[in-house]
Amino acid sequence: MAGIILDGITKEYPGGVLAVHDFSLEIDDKEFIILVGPSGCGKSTILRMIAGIEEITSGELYIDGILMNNVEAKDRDIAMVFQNYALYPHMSVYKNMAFALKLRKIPKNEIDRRVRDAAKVLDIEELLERKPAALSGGQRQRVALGRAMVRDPAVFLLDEPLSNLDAKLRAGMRAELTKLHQSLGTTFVYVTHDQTEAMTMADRIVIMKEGMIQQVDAPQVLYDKPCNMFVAGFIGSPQMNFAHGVLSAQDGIMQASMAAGKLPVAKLGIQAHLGKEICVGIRPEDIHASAAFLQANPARVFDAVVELSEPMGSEIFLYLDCNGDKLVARIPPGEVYRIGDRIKIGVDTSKIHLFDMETEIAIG
Amino acid sequence: MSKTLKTILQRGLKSSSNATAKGKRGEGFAALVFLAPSFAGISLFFLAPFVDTVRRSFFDALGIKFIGLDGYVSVLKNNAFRLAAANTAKFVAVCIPALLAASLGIALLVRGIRPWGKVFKTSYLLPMAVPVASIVLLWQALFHKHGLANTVLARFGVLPVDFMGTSAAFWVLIFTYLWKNTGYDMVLWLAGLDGISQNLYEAAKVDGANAWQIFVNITMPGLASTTGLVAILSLLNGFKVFREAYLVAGSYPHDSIYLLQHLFNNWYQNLDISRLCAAAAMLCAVLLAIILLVLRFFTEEV
Repeated sequence: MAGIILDGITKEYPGGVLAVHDFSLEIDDKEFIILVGPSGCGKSTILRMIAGIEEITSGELYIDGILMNNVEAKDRDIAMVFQNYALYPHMSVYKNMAFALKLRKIPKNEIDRRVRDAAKVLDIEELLERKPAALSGGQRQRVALGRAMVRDPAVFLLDEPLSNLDAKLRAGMRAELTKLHQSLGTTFVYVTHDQTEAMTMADRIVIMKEGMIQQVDAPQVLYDKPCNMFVAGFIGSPQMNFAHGVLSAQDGIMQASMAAGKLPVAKLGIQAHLGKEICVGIRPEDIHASAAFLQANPARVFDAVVELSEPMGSEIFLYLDCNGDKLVARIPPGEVYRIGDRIKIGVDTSKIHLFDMETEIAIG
Repeated sequence: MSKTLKTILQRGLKSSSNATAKGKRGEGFAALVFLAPSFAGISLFFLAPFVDTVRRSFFDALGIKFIGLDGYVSVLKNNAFRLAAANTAKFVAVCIPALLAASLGIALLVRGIRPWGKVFKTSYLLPMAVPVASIVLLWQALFHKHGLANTVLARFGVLPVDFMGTSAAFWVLIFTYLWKNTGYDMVLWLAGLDGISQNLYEAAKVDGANAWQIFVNITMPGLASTTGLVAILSLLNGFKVFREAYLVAGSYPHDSIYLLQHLFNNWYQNLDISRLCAAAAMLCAVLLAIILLVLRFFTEEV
């Protein structure tokens, strides 16, 4: 039950490798915050610094209002779930979960109660006497969660806890983790490289790249209003289409000219970029091929050649070549597309994104 | 190490017992073919002589007349054997725990000071590279009645000690053994320590363990099988200390360092074959028992 404040945290490894640079973030009490980014972006390092198993080079870390920079890991009242679970191999599941409580000299019957309660919640009651080697990946993952739960910690740190599970188990565990967060009412700091995990579980997502924060926002805000091309490309699958273009004005209407064609763009605050090179971002679901849409929006129609069609059952991913601009469209099923088919597509311009070509920052 | 051996044996047994599975049987046969050359070598140079030794222990010196357990009785009654066995047991009982503790301590220190660790690792390993014969010269110079150690002691006003002529010889031998073997065992410990995942230490830290609790709950259990291995190797190396003892003090050293090997060597020179064989068979039985006990104790299935 504690908020966390990271103030200008920097981590520099010997040899001058800058893992985290000037990282500032306020995590609210009971918030489920997810740090996401490609591998090597420093997200795990942040988590390890909060845990106290990695030293902070500069900046300040507060947990529940108390400066933690020089507080040892064991005194921070945090629990951590490791990517490979880090279960003690020579201890039974029960002893793994009881270990931290035993170190804190909590009475035996209280330890027993807490371990059995957690085991019940996680559905691992029958496994308590087993050694970790005799457990499946999913079971180990639950034990690792249980080991953290019994502590009743101020902060829960999770370092890619689902990455070693198969896809089906992962989807199930996502829902369970969300439930667990709600029932525990504890601050969760969660690290992953999987944007689906981030989108589905987080109250807020922190997107990182090369040790720096790119954007911190609620999942839907990140999706709708990415602040730069990195965020726009990172969140969403298939990822956002990017096409180079120039911003021009014709008859008082701003338009983006791309290889594929011209699109009218009615956005505020883009006048300054008139005549400059820009990048147009279009989400795959904002590209339409239905006759109704094409008829209603004749000014936003491009010719396209089908390069590949991936029917997913509930939808189709169309890989298109529009006069050199490669676009992916996500359209409803129904029509059958063959490679080489020449079709017409329309773009929902109310949802397109514009980025400055040089700074890659969103405009308008 | 023993665990792998166990699994190999188990697999071998399984494949040989599983006669219905043709592929498995082929695998077992292939294993035998690959094992055959080294097995032949070991049989020729170790097993067969050993079997003959056991046989000879029941016969007279010429290996013709059956004497039953007479050889064993005579060995057990022999004063020299009792002294040598007691000395050897005492030596093993003192130096192996001391060696295990010292080498583990140094291994932990060497790991702790990472940037300088390599320098220390090498320097602790150096004694292994020095041939025994040249070390002996050094010991003689050091521990002679008028040697270096006594010169230093005299500086501090301590009366000279006759290191090799009194029971101090035992402790000189212990020191020699530790000096020579610490580096080797340290390397084994380091390998064992490398086998413990860094994440476990971190998890324990986050769970609230201090350095000592981490050592007891993470490091020690993680080193269990290494401990068994190091203990057995140290035990076997313990018998090699005879070289130093023999070269420094000869066939009949001070009573305190008269080891089983001195006795064996003397019996061998006197061609006292039946007693020699009986004693060898007994020593082997005792060592085997100790090794099996250590293996059983330290190779708990994880």
